[in-house]
Amino acid sequence: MKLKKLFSIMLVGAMVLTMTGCGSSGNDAGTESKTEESAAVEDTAETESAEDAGAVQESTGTDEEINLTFWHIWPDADMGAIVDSYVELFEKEHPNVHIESVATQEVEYQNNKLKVAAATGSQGDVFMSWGGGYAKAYVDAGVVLPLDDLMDKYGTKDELLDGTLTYATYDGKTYGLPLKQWAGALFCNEELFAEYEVEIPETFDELLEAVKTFRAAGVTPMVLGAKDGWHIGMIQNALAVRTAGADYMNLALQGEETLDTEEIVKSAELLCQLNDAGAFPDGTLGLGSEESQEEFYMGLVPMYYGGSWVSSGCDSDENEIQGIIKAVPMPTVEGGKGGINSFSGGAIDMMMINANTENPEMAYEFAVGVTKYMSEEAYKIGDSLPAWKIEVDESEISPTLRQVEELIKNADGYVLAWDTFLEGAAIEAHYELLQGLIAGTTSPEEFAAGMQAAQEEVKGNAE
Amino acid sequence: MERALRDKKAICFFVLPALIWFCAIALLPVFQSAGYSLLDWDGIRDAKFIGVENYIKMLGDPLFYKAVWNSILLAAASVFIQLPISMVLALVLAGGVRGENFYRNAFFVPVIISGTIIAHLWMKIYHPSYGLLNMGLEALGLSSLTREWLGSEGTALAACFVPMVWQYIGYHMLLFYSAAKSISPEIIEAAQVDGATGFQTAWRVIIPMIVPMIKACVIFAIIGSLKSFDLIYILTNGGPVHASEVPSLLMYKKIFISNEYGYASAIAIFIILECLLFTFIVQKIFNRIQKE
Repeated sequence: MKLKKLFSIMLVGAMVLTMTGCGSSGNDAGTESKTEESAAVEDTAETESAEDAGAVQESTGTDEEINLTFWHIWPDADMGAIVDSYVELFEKEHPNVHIESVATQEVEYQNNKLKVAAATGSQGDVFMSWGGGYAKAYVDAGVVLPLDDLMDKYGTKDELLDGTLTYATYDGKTYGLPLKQWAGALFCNEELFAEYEVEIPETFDELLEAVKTFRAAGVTPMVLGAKDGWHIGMIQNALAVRTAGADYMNLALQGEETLDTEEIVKSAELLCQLNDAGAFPDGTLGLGSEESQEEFYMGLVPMYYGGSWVSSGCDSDENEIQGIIKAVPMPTVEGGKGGINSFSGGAIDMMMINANTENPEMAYEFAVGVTKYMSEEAYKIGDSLPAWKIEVDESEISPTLRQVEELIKNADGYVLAWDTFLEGAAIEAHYELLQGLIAGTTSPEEFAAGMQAAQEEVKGNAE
Repeated sequence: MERALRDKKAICFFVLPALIWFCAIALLPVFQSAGYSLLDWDGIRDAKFIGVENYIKMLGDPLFYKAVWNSILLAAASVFIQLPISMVLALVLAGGVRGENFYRNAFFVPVIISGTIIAHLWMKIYHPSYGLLNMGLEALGLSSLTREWLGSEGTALAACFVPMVWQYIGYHMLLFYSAAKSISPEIIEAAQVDGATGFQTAWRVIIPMIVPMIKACVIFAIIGSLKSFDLIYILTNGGPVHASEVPSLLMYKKIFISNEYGYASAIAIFIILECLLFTFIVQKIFNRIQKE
């Protein structure tokens, strides 16, 4: 009997132990493996420090161990490999620094992971974020480090292209390092245009005609995955740049002008005209963006209005449309205030630094390095346009992206996608209203009025 | 051992660790949510106490009623479509057919597949241009029946229900099956000796004896439906135009897209209360049935 009692007590003890083990294992495991790895780094550090010591000491002043966490959104192969290769390079140059990269799929990261972590200021030392409305709450809550002093110290601003810090600036202070710029374009499959004897459209009326011709021939004219609200927004936002003009749109999205104007109603109306003419895939409201764009990459759909990132898919070996894609600006709208040289786009993807980081200088050095490096590499593979003044051999750049770059040479204005500009509830309202337009349950007037009401509510709450 | 179990202190001692654990990860967050639901808070910036305003907003939101109604429809579909199918399958299998084990496992397969995979599988089936369903209908010469299943407001909700109901048929079947198997064979033999047909045995002997299991399954099915999230999130994300919105999806969007943490917490509290209420009602109904 005694034995049994002893045994049961042992069992309970074991249970409690495993539980406490569970409780803290999350952290323990992390730090343990980190220290092990950094110990390994230290070993190599000793051997290499002789040659690198000069550079390191200049920037940090000490030889102490530095651990940085780096949160990014590229778990996939292409971009992931680019990030990893830079982290490796940086660790080699700074033997006392260990960088732990944490990759999360973009939508999860943007909607969940970063929001939850930023609530307690526990995001990575260097973390991927978005400027404009997205990071405003983080900046207000004081979890993002202002970078002006560091930028002045290292002369970083001179290395950046003009206008790339606009959406990283809040109340006159800079909080982010831009990773890239994007610009919207209409990507046209020239082979299909030739096959069905359609001219590549330059005006909205021509676009509408092209849509009707393709539809009559049984071809889905344009890509759209309306289950993802942002995908509809790409088209409507670009049309609004045409109808209302870039300057007005920028003011309106900041809340300094209204969104329920005739021009914005018109942009929604044009979207509805395209929809009514059968521009988008059947059942588009049940399709996601990726599912929908697949048919464009397979060479089945002639037109895709999207950001410059579409280029990388156009030039990818996996797809069947290499060399037959022509990028043109969004067709112009008669009587519209925005000309052919105003674009959707801008620099919104940022690297930011956690205000709670223990090593702001080293984090900054890494953040500058990685943004510059990625800016260049992403440019080469056709993902985006650079935000930094970099020199790249033209032959290395994705040919479709080169076309986009040609288009924006004379750009006189950019407007970001609305959903990166707006905040919180206004983003959800934007998606809902756009889907309503496609479903035919929302009228263009209701769209504009709804956007204005959502904007007022959000701005009202913030004050 | 028996003496140890009669000892109240020992019972407390054994139960305590699990109880603490349960409180920390299940009960505490519920109370925290109740607290958050009284705040105007975006999850990051400073919170403001606003009393029951979130609940007033919720009760005035037509979208909320639509979501709740959809989830109740789903619960009804689970109880009146899913469970009867499970029951028939279970009784047929328990009655002994050739390949009993094979069928039992085959019907159980959807339960062990992750919801995400099932959703993607059905997305392909429903795809408007190359989906199995539309192509099958066309092959049968029924092109007039082809639809944009997930993309039109009329069919999206039903199209979501089909895989949701289908997925857990095997789960309830297994529960019914094991309950039916545990009935002593003598009772069934006695019924057969008395001349009962297979149907009569099932209806008058087996089903009355497994009422407690039926009760458990009804509760599982209802609560599972009221909390449903994953399949709808992937299939339609509540669309088109909220045609397939359910409360947990609405809650998710309010937190992670609109940053309305307080409002979303109010919806969470509602879901908890709703589940408790339905459990209570089902218990009452079954208590009455069991008494009869």
